[in-house]
Amino acid sequence: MNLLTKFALTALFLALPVSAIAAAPGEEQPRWSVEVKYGLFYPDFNDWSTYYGSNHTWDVAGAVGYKVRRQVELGVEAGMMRDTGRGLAPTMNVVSGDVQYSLWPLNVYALYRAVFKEDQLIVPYAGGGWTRMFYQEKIQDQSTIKGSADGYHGRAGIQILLDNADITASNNLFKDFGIRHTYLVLEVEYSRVMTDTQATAASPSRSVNLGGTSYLGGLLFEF
Amino acid sequence: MKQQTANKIHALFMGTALSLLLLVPAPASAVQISVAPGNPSCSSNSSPPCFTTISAAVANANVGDSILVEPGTYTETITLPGPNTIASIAGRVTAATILTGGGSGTIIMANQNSNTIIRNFTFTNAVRGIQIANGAALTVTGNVFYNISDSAVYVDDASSSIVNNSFRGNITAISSSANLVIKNNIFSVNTNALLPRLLATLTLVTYCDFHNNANNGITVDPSSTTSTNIPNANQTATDPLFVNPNTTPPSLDLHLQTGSPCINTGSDMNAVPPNSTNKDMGAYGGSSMDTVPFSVTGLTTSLTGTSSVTLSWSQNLDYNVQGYRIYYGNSSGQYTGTDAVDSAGNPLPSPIDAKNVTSFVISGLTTTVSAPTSAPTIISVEPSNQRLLVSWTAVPGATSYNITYQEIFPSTGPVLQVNTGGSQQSYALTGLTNGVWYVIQVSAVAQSAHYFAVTSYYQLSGASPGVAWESAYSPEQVIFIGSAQEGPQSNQVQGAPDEIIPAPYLKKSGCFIATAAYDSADAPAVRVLRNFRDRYLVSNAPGRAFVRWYYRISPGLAARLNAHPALKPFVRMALEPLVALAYLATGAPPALAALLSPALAVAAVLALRRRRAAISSRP
Repeated sequence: MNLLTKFALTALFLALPVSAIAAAPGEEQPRWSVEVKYGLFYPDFNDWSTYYGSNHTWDVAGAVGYKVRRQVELGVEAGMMRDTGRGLAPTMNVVSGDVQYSLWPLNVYALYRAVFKEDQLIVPYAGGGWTRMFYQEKIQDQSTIKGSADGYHGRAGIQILLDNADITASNNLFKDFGIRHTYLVLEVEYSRVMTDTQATAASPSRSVNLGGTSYLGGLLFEF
Repeated sequence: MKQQTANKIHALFMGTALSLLLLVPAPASAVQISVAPGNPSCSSNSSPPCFTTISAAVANANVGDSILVEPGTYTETITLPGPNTIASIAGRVTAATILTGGGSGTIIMANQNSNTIIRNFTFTNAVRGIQIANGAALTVTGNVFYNISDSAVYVDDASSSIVNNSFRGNITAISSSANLVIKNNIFSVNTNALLPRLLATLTLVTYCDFHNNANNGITVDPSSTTSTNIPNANQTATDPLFVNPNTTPPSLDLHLQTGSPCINTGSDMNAVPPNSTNKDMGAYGGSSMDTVPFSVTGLTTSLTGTSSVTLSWSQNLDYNVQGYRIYYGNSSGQYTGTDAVDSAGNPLPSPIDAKNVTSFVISGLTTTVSAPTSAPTIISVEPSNQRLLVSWTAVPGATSYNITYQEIFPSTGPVLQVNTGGSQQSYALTGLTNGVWYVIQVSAVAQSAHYFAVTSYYQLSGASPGVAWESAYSPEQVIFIGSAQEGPQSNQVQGAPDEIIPAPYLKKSGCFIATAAYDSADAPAVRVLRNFRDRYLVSNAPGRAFVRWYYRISPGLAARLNAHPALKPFVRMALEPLVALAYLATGAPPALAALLSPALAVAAVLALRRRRAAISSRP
């Protein structure tokens, strides 16, 4: 059982005890959510650390979602991952040169947030959707490789309600910006975006996954 | 008996008193605390203590201590302690000791503090430079205030002396609700030179120059025969003739040039040499002026003989500069040379007093040097596109390195050599052919090296570069003289430059079929088609739909084309009319487009007619 599966099952388990509780009638519920998060991205690429020094890089993302129901949200998420490293000089067969590798995933997603009370402290959530991954490889003194590919992603996590941590601040956020709830978000996201590599004299074209696993933390604001 | 008892009591009393005296701590003697963030040995535990920020020095200072701040840029808000008084906070060099608010805030705030002297700083880029309030009484002297967005000096319910400062380009130079001693200052190009507040009347403004301020804040009568402020009947010109006012710190130089109306027209404030007999206005006059002139700029060196070098530099226009000193030596920063001679053959050890000139010839410099005895070792050869980055170990005494390289596979080329021009231990060989193997060796080269720096000075007695009476060294120049001596060759290393393959080696989005047909995504025809796509197709909805459709079907077709290369010439022939049309639409010069468009139209009409004729001639 991989980490993602464990995480999704844990989230589901946490949601079960509260699933029967309905939202209080007449209580105003948020319609929109905005999420900003930052974390680490572990590319699904075996030799990554050979060329980029470590097996991960940073990941920053933001999302805007609309709640078709209190628990069901549709939205768009955009992110960015970047690392600088080296490439392969084929004649000498050594790692050399300077390469900057960037990914910009654009996700359209549906999420289920197991929220049944507006003051629910911990809210598990899970979802997924379509991914368009834009990529760029800048190589020193050479032309830049740019392109994009389609795939899918899944994500799950928990959101911890921060409203009660500072009630004055949360009231001010509501008065000034219309923010009804602020959550701390901890999330795992997996993306799979397959594309073909270019063939070289030494190796034929093969399929690689541009995606991988991200571990993210951030803030979720519900309006 | 009584006497003995009395003696005992007296002895006991005296002993107790002495003991009490010993127990009471003596007042600490005043010390000079330094602020030197660039000094690696700077420590708060040293004696006298040293701190890396002015705020820390102020927080640890005792009554009567003084604080000397070494040159640097300090972004701080410094709050002087209450009634406890630090004797002075001073910069080592006015122009180079810069206090900034980073665009906001107040740099120094004084409440209830009295008698502290703030001197020899450049205040810039803050809302307020110094704020004096609640009965505090500072002496602000020898400072430059530049580009302060509210008030350079803001006084509220306090008394202070603002003496011998230069205010330039501030919104308000001095804003005060109290009558202050304002003397020997230069106010140049400020929105408000003086701004009396809360019905305050500034009656103690004397010996100040008011130049091109939008509002002077007091009446400055150019026809007055009694006023000591400029302009007056005796001195109508107000431009202080700063050396370099139209720049920003640390290049901002508000020293006075010869002919300035501010020279010797200030009040006598116990001026120190070199202008001890003068009474100059501004930050560089009076008793608190710093004694370090600006560094020399524009130093160049040129070889004017087998062992002669001509040095030239820009003149320092500061009217107090009396001359220049030339420092030289055989290694960087070590100016201990002794080999130079004058035209009569007399030795000229470093430093040489060049007097007041801006060009000087140094002769008799050593031209010989022994060849390096050891060889460098090549550590690595890193390939990249048409380039090999070679790295090696250092050789003592090397002034540069020769890199010898030769193409060895697939063919043998000529032996080539390049000199690094410096003593660095890596060099990129460029313009090489990808996929070709080269053999590389490195050797150390020694040549007689001479390093030069120049200073300006106010006086030679007691002069020390960057400390007193003499500027800091100019940027160093090096020149190599005599024949180069080459040492033994390093180990041989082979390398082959290459186009770097990134990981993963992803495909470029583009014209897949054309890329396959022309075998390169960068072929001119593919670039033309890509330009056409970007300009005419992706800019509109139908075009984007076509591009999406094309991208859906073309990878498969491109793969088939790659699997059957014999088809590529036919595909290229089929694509060429499209390429020509795309070229006309995107990149062709207008004349060529005018010529080719009718020709293509005629060709199309002829082809259509031939096709119709063929159809009509069928039985």
